[in-house]
Amino acid sequence: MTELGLPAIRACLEGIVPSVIATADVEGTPNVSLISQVQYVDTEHVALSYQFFNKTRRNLLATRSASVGVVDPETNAQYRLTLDYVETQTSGPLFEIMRAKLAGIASHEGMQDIFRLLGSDVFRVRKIEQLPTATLPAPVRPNLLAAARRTCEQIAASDELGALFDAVLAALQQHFRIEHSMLMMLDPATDRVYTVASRGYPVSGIGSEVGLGEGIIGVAAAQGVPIRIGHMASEYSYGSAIRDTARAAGLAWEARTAIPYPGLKAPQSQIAMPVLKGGKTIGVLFAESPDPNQFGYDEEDALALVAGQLSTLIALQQHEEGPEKPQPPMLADSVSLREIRIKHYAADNTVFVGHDYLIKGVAGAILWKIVREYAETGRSEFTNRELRLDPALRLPEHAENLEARLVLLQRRLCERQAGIAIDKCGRGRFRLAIDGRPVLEEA
Amino acid sequence: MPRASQPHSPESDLAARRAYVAVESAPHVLAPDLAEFCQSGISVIVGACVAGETPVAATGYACRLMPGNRFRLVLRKLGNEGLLEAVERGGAIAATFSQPTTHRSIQIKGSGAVVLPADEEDRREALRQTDGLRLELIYIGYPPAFAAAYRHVAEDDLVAVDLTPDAAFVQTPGPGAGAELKP
Repeated sequence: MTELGLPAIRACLEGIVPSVIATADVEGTPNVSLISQVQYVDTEHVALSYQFFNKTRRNLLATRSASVGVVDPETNAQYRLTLDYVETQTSGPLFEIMRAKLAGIASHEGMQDIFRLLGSDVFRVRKIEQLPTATLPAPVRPNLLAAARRTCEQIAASDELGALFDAVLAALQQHFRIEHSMLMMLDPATDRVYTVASRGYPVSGIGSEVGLGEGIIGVAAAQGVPIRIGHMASEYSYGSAIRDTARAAGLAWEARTAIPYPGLKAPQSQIAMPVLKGGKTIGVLFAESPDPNQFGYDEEDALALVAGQLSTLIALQQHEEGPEKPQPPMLADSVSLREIRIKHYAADNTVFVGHDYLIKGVAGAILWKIVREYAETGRSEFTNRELRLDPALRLPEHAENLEARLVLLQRRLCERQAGIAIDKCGRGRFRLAIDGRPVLEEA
Repeated sequence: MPRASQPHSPESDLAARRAYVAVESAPHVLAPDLAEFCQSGISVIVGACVAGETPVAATGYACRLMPGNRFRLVLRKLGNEGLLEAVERGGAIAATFSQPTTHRSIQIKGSGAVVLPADEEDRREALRQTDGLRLELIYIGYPPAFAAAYRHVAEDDLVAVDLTPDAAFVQTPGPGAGAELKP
């Protein structure tokens, strides 16, 4: 091992410059070839992409050791790793991390129909030798540790969930120079993540959804590990994935109630960092760039710190109701007398306001409940607790789901200029305001 | 610049080799166009192994077709001591030649390898062939400064490894990859 070990040479393990692998059969006949991907697994292990059942593969299974040359794509520092085969993984987090990365590499090299990951071969690193090469100075980069610290400090100052969601994306832009980002929260009942905040897109896409396993966001959410890609790969592209889903559904209804995914049309680099609580995914922090290879191991580590802090802060925002904030009195005569038609479809709690789709699912059910009460009794203040206890809403167990849905609902109402607003009016309390006379219709 | 704008297929080299009818009594393992391909200024990678030990991988500078059906690899000495030692202890050797712009790749397996001092022609070929690879790398999008560093030749630290090629294999990714090139 070099003194600094494997973490110090992770830049060589991005698959940007192909690596050299030598193996041998039991007679000692060597085989040497280029390999697309040597993945950093942990301080002691790397994984190689197993794409073809070829001589390298047969040799590895027979003699269980390999010599691999890796190259730093910026400095040309080179190392030779001596590896001992441990096991092959054909599913799970490491496999999905490598499958996504390989898709990017294959697409970049024009080999998308030929490179397919069959397995991740895990090796223990026995030795690392530095090779004498002509080297270039390492480029100066933003200090990611400092960026993570400043981001964590900045977002800790947010006093409610919606502000926290926006603050984290603003801090990514300010400190990490990430211009395009989204935060999505998981709906465990539907196995989909929905956008609660976005930054750097022409439309916000608040409420747009991605299914578990779809594209890098869906894979990161499903596996609970960060997934990143250095070059656009069609099988991970949302443009097509989401259009195909809608087309497969074949229903005008689907098209009418789908909120378009806001992401870049031609991203090159993408990273999806799961937000975990107790080891389970509760959301995904996502960033992308039109430039290739923008998110490496170090960016991944820094964003993992941010996502950890974000998870803690989301948990802290789960208040039960507390003292009411003083509110400016609502002026009755400021409310217009126009009709606001609200139509509810019980099958999936879809709500339309006028002719426009607004929301569905749990957020739709919450809205339908509170506008009905408002219309029947004139009541305008509600508590999170009563929503949580309402069996008709069938809220999942975790509290953050309710809070995040209220943020989603609040943002959709605001974006659609529906004449309906909800605002927090204290800990765990919110107020409904309708600028007109609600006319409710159950479809 | 998309990489591999003219991808090659394993089948074309296999078909060409089948069509090649050697006229010599002791034909080369490689048809003439493949021998030329290997020396054309592309990527040269090398592996050596003593039976029962872990193989050693290395990057080479150049290769040369030598008289008497011998093949020469030109490498840097420093950093490759383990590989050279394996050769000197009678280890077997393999070398793969790959063209980045096409992914066309050929591997040869050799025996009777010996380590020799590099000569002036080796030095010239190392410079010429690494320059060819440098241009290929720039063509597929590597930054010129990186390509130059990657293919920098330590001219005063060269060594030659001569071997007799016993077999050649097509290594271009795709169906047929790994097949032996034989008539």
